[in-house]
Amino acid sequence: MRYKLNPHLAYRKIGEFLYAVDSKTSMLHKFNETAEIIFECIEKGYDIDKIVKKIVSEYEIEENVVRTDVEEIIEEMLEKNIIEIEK
Amino acid sequence: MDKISDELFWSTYKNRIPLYTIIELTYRCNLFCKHCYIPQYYRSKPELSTKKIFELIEEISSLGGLYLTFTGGEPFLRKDIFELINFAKQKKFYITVFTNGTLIDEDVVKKLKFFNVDRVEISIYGTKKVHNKFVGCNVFDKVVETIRLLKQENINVCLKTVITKENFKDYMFLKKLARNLGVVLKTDFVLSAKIDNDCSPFKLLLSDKDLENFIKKEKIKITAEYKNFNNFVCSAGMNIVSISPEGKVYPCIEFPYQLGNVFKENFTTIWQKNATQFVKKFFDIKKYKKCLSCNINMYCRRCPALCFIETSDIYGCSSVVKKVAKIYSLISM
Repeated sequence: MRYKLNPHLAYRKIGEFLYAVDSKTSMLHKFNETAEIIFECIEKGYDIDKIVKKIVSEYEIEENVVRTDVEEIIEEMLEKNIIEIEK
Repeated sequence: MDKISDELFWSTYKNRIPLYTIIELTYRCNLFCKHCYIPQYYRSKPELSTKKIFELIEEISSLGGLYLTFTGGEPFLRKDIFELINFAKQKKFYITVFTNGTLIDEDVVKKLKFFNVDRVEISIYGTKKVHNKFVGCNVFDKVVETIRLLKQENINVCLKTVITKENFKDYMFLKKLARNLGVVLKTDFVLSAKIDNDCSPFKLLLSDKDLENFIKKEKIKITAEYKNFNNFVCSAGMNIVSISPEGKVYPCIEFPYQLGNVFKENFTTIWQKNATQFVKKFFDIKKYKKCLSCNINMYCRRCPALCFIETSDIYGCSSVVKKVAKIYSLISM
């Protein structure tokens, strides 16, 4: 399954954190480091497998642990309308 | 303000990141609003080129800017307006456009939708008769049509007005109009002098009595952050910056203290060097001696820019702001 960013998001890395504002709801979101990586991967069009692979290769964490985290964060991003499922 | 917005505001304030940028694209305008801070003879002044604005947008993005407002004059008089919006959207800015709403037809609305403009703010001053007289043109019906067109396309639109002696009786009408159109109405009642220091817009200010009655009747409340003068905050040059059509950089759109010109230095240098010197020099709370000893300072929405315009002294006292503070203090008794 592929995802894409909500087209109504404006976003910027400001200081240490990535912030994104949704113009339809005026909701401002702040991302932690892992969420930021996932956000950037989705922006590049990566699917879950590719996102997991990237994080595993960069951070040397077990794949099943990464996958669980990535799936949880993606679920949260979908709930908050930060990302959408690409049709 | 929610927790994240508050945190972002303060982190950019403390670290001096230009979170909010206003670019005045042109001094040209097709209307003649009585309170406008731009003198009419400014309309023929040169403007930033498309390329120069692209460069600015790149720099502001690199510095951490997120909210970008295009204003004028009337920004839709610029033929490259959609090129600019498109470029800024590609750089992931939240784009607001301030407009008088007279040059937006169905085609323009489609383009605004296509480029995902985040917000459009439209000025409106009263009933058809009052609005048309105030702006010097017969455009009220067109403005209302524009609001409807924008709403139809689900574009985030809000109305804004300034209360003056010519339109304060129309405030209820404006509130109803906004409600009927399904949009928010933003209201202000502090006017600014023109940028050439001409104070004639102040003639439009309500009398003390009328302003007091208006604030009482409309139950307008003072916002909490101003209730303790020691916590006085001004974002000018801290996390706000404004750029004029001539490339002059100001700490905010109302503050005629030039930090630099983007044709002489790049924006990043102006922001990091000149603006830093400006805030160090000007924003020292201990220097506000008049304010610190003023018995109504807790009601004052102090604006260093208005003080500077009126008195040429950033630590001075703006009669306009003090007038409002006095009324708040009376009401609070």
